[in-house]
Amino acid sequence: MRFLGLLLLLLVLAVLSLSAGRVWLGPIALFDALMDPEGAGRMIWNLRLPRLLVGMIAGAGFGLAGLTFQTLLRNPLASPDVIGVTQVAAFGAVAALFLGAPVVLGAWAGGLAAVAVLGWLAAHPRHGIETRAVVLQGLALAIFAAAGTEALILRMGDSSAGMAMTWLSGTLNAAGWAEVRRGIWLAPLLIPLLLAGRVLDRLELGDDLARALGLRVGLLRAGLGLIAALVAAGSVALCGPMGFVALAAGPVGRLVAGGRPSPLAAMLTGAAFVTLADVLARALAPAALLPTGLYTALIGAPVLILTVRRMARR
Amino acid sequence: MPFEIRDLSIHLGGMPVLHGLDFTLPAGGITGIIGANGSGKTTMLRAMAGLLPPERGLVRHQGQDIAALPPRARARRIAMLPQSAAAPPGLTVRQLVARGRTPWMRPFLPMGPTDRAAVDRALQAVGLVDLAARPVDSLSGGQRQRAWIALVLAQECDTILLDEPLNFLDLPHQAELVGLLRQLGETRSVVMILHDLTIAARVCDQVLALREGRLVAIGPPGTVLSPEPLRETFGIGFDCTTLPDGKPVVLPAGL
Repeated sequence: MRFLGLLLLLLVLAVLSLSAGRVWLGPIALFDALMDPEGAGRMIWNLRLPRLLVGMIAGAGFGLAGLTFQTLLRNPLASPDVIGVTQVAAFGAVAALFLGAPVVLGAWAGGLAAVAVLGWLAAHPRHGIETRAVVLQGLALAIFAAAGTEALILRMGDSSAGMAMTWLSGTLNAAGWAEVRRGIWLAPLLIPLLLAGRVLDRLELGDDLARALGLRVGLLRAGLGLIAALVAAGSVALCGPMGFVALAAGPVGRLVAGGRPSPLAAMLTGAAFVTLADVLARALAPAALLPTGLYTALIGAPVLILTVRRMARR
Repeated sequence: MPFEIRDLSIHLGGMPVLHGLDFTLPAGGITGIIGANGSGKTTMLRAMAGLLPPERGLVRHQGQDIAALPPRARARRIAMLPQSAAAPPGLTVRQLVARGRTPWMRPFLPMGPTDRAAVDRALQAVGLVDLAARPVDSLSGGQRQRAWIALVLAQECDTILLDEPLNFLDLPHQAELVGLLRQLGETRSVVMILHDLTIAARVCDQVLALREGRLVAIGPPGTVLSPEPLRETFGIGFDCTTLPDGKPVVLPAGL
């Protein structure tokens, strides 16, 4: 029932997203435009629809990766955008841009490297992994990576530096069908994370109990962590490191799912979140084309505070 | 013979914690593990659950080397409840208990009728049927501990390992839980770590004393919970007396 509500919300936001922009379309005009891809609907089909799809795919990826990391590390703060996975992926993407390599490969290399470094730093001889330390070490990693990215951008020419800065706050302005096609490649990576709900449920009870229940905790944590890193990095490659989506989607999705770590709810929440932010970006300042990531942070911060308060009150 | 431990040595982070333990536990009944902090009790319990690879030696459960068992098969034979397990906020009692079915459930499929029946039986056994829909974090300490024990019961293993199940409970709740543990000991093998020696004397069929990762004594409570083995275990003197029912009462000397 709650999932249905979330799905409905996503649908409403999607319709709004297709309507919103410098030219607002009413429901009937929107329908006509969708029916006429070659004529009146060209703007919708060439600009708004791919933009919507890229945002939803990236948001879904951020949401899933966020919940996965938060649950694997048993810490609501341990989302990829806090523990440095997103930042190192962004560094990898910018470095790839700098070297003329495919952006997504750079982002993936960065995401995997971040998880490898965190896993190595946090390895604890007695407990397998020191989950509390990861957040702090990841924070340091994030700052380090952000500094590296800035250094790279400073060495770029003025025009590409400006584009890179916009990209770094997370933007859908460049999203077209090529990005949608690249986003579809992410789908197979989402599946294992979507199916991991039961594993996440068990890991929440603590490593020892999860292992006593027959789970291969070390293997599952490493495997799911690496996949989640690829997903987060893939989303970064699509639209830049959009702030707060991964961090907020986990707890909000959890609230929707009645307190359980539900990958489906986190994925839908992430997608809805980015779509909402993009509607706002175009509804509030249609001419300015401000980065969508500005609005995800704007909505994300209060949503996160409210959610954490609600969780604490339970 | 549920447990046969042969020359077991365990290292944690390169540090030796258990040194060549060698003993067997008979089937059924309650075994209490006693020892000072850092004597290796929890490490031994984790090793018996198959969660730690032995540096040397082996743990056999009903004749089977547990290090050679796949995790799921192991989890169908031996259940373990770690100390101070915390339920995620909002999780209901029934949801928590259902987690115990994990090793029996087919991957990606929901619980079947067998699983639901096992959960019902576990809730019944600990007397939490009426509270099954309540969040675990809204229960009293004693009820909460019973919910965790129900999780382990739902796992339907004939061997249950408990790490300090009586911790942080007040005396009435301790007494209540002891009654429940006694019942479990009638049909299964229960091994648990205990701090309160007088309680250990009352519930355990046998007591195993550890000091610095070595076995000091193993035997019925009347033998192990006496001044000499206790001095060797804890390094201090004890005053021991015997109640009319023949069970010992033990206190540190000079307390």
